[in-house]
Amino acid sequence: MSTTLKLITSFSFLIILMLGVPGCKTEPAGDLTESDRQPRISPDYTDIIIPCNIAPMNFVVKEEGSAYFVRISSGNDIFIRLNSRKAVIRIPLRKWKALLSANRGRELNIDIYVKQKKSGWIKYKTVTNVISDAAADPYVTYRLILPGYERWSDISIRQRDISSFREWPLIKNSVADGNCVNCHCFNNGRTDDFLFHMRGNLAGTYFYSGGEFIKINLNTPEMKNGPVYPRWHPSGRFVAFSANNIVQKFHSADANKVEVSDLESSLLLYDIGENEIMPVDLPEREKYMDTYPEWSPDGRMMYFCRTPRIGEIYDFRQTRYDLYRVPFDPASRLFGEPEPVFCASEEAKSISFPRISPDGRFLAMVYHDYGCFPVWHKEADLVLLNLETFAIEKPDLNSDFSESYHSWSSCSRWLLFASRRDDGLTTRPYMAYIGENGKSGKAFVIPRKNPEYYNTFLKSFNLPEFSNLKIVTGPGKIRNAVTSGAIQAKWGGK
Amino acid sequence: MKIKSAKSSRFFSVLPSRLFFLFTFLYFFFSGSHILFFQEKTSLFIFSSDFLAESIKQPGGFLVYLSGFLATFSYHPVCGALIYATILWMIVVFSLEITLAVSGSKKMLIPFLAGLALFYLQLDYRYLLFNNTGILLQILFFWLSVRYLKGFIPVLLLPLFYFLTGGFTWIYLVMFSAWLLRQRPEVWLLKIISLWLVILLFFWLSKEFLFFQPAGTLLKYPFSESGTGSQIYIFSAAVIMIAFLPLLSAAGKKNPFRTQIFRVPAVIAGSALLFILLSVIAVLRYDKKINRYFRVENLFYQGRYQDVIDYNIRYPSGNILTLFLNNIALCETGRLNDMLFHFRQSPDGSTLFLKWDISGEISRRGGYFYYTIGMMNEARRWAFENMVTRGMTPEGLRLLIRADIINGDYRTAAKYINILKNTLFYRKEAREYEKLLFDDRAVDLHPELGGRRRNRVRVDFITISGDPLINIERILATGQVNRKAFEYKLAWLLLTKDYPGISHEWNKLGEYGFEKVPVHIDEAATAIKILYGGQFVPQGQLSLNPDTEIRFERFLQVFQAYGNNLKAARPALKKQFGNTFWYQAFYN
Repeated sequence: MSTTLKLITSFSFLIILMLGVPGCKTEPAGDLTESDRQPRISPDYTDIIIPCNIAPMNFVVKEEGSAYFVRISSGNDIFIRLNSRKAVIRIPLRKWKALLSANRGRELNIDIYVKQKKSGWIKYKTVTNVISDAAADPYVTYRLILPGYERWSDISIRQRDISSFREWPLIKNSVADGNCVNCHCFNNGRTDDFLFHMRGNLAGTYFYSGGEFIKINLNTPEMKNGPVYPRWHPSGRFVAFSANNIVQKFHSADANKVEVSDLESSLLLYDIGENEIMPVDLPEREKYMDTYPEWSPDGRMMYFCRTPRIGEIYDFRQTRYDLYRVPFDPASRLFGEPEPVFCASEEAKSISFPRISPDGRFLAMVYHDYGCFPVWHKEADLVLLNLETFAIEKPDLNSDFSESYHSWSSCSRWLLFASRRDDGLTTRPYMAYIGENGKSGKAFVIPRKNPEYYNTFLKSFNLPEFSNLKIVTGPGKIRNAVTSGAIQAKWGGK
Repeated sequence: MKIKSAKSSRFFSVLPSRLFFLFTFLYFFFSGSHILFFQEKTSLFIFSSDFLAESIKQPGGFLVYLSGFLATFSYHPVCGALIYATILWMIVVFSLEITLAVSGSKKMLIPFLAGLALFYLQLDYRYLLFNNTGILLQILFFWLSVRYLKGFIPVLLLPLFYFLTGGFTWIYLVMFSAWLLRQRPEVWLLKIISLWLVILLFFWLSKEFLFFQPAGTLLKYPFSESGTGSQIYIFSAAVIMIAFLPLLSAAGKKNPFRTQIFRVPAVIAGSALLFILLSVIAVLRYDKKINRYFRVENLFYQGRYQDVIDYNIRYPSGNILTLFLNNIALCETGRLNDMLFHFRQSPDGSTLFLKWDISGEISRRGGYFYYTIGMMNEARRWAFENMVTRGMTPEGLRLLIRADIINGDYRTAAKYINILKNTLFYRKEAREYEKLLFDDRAVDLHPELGGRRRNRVRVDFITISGDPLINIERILATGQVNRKAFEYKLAWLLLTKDYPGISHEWNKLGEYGFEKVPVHIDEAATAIKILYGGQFVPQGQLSLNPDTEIRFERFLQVFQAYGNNLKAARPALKKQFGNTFWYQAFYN
């Protein structure tokens, strides 16, 4: 035993010694070679506008070298100096926060020096970003799921604090018999009300409010298809759903490997207070397939996507959706006459996921070749519809890969969206600044503590949503909710 | 003299455990390589902090992580055999130490019985390594608890230990409680109560606030019946023996053979008995068929298609999965319709292609058929779906990487390559794949991937998962020359005795680059010509082989010699014509 103790003591001493010895300084010294280009860094955090409350934007320098030095400054003030033998740059949280809060609205300069064996230190062109005065909503909620085709295993809806690296689960399907959970939706992102669906043997729509879950069965015998895509009315009184009959097909050789489409769809309105679900009674609705409802900020107008109903034999490539809107009277729960807002089909295009900025000026939507499920469409891009001029603008935030589900921050200056640009397969939570004129900044992925995290993480960040409030649930609460009986909604249709 | 005697005494005292180690090591190395192969191929250990964090998100996760790390060494059978044998050996050795600590003398019976039971269990390839690793950790923790951890330290460490080893902790709890009850050290009752209170409190906290897992999972994970290879009763018996080891050791009376005079003969006799029992278990548990199947799978994964065929000729199999892989090997070497009936085939086509199935055994392998005929999207879909339900495996990732590189989906391939680069034994291969990324020319020149890229399905259509044959028809309908898909179609026509189909496809042989008629097609066409005279007129440059006609005449003569009696003629026809289309057509 004494020998073992000696060994342990010696080993511990060695470790302490190794940790205690100050690391070799890797700051640039001597002659510098100036490069006329910016360094390659991953994720690409160059030339971007960032919110003043974002977490440290750690990155990897993708330049060969034996030592790295990074200086982060704003104006004449140098806030952070980092040196490393490795190319992985991790910025201290507290210093970063102090830097951002002291320099809102100013430029953020990142000077990167790389020591190369032959040529010594190289200083690359300064990376200049801008710290926006506008803070983004502090929380982002998403579903983590492997981007599979038919099967699922481990699914969770998680919330992330974007000003730090903290992330926690709201729901995990492991406590719900492995059932699929999907389509979470916040009540405007400004309260702690949110809902999500669960499929399978514990099926139901779970409404979370005041720290408690209520399980509602929104399916009634009168409904042909169950509620799918939700959108909470600004008053908090109603939730609009689309009821869809969804099928998926697989391409043998196309770059878009999966085709998800609707055979049928229509709109529903759920009155929370009355626990009543009813069809959105639009004239001649049987002639169309309506989906993806969205409310105007004042709650007096509902926007949605519409295409003519398909027949038994149809070409999914010819199914194209237009943007419509219909007036809504919350007092009487009555809808008016629908009118087209943007006819994408006239341009041989389709649109999906209309989302209006909280200031009511822009409607962001996904613009793609056909159908209504853009996440598998490489060509899918986000576009902004100016709701004053009805002009369409394609912002700079797009890529050659799919941009799909998106969410506005409550200040209307930040658009969060799912993009597959990194690997063509898994969606990542990207965000971009949207100016008052509708011009966007370059998009960037929400930073992780380990900047290489996204390179090997296989799950998709599905349906990213901004919210202002932190939600804390727990396994016990979820378990109680899923095992409780569902409250049956009443049918309010004629 | 005393030194010699002491050495001799020590030799004999460790003889049984060393014999146990040596036997198990040699067995795993020489006869149990399929166990090592299976366990290595059904998990993937990644050296990254993210993988560690993901692995330890629930109690017992660390145990699975640790076992995954150990199993990864099975890539080299000698290392795998060493690890598997060492774990079993340590279980026996520390169980002996526990008997010594509890009763003052080493008691052989229970430790070796438990060791034998665990060896028996481990010889089922589905019995996962974390079971024995979990048991070993309980024994070690118990041994530390009674030897070195004083006072309430074991109680305080219990939540941590539960977090590390999950459901296996119950073994430790029973062991330690039994020991406290038997030995009655200072404040033993308080210790027992606090031990159970602490674990129950931590369990409740875990269930309500810490881990998003159902109570059953928190109680058991990672233990599962399937993880023991459905050997739940024997596993339970082994666990009970170990859990009550402190009581059973203490209960025994002094062994009369432990006196010096009887010691050496007793050890020798005990060792001989141990050897016999180990041999009996080894013989009883050796499954030749499974061993051979995994040998085929191993050769297949290495792309040694000719070796797959040769091995199946040497060791014929009726296993559908073996035959499925063998048919792919035949197709890859261009001899599917020359040698199809040299091997048993299922008339319903299930040896040709596996229908989409949720079961892991099917989805793990089904994608290789699509990979062979160039439907890369479908190949990767099978591999990905298998990964969703069964987790990452080395071969699954390799298939995904290759399919994505062939498709030109380099970014997606890069992600999988990044993962494979963080493994111990596949990193070299990953770096080779990495060199191909974003370099179409390098892919085109690649000895394997280049050819597959040229032959991949290029015209898009909607696939039908449940019906591989329709997918083949759709490939061929695109007008693309896809010889492998065509070979599979021919094989299907042969299996289903579709004579009009065979006659029709004959004319396309030249189109698909056949310079000679495949043997079985020739046999079928000859039979059509002779039996249904005039219905088959060969078109194009290829013609029937006159020798085949002579052989078929002989086949008919043998048949007629038995009075056209199918049953009576079978042995003779099988002997002479068992690997022909005609025999298949007669008897299947």
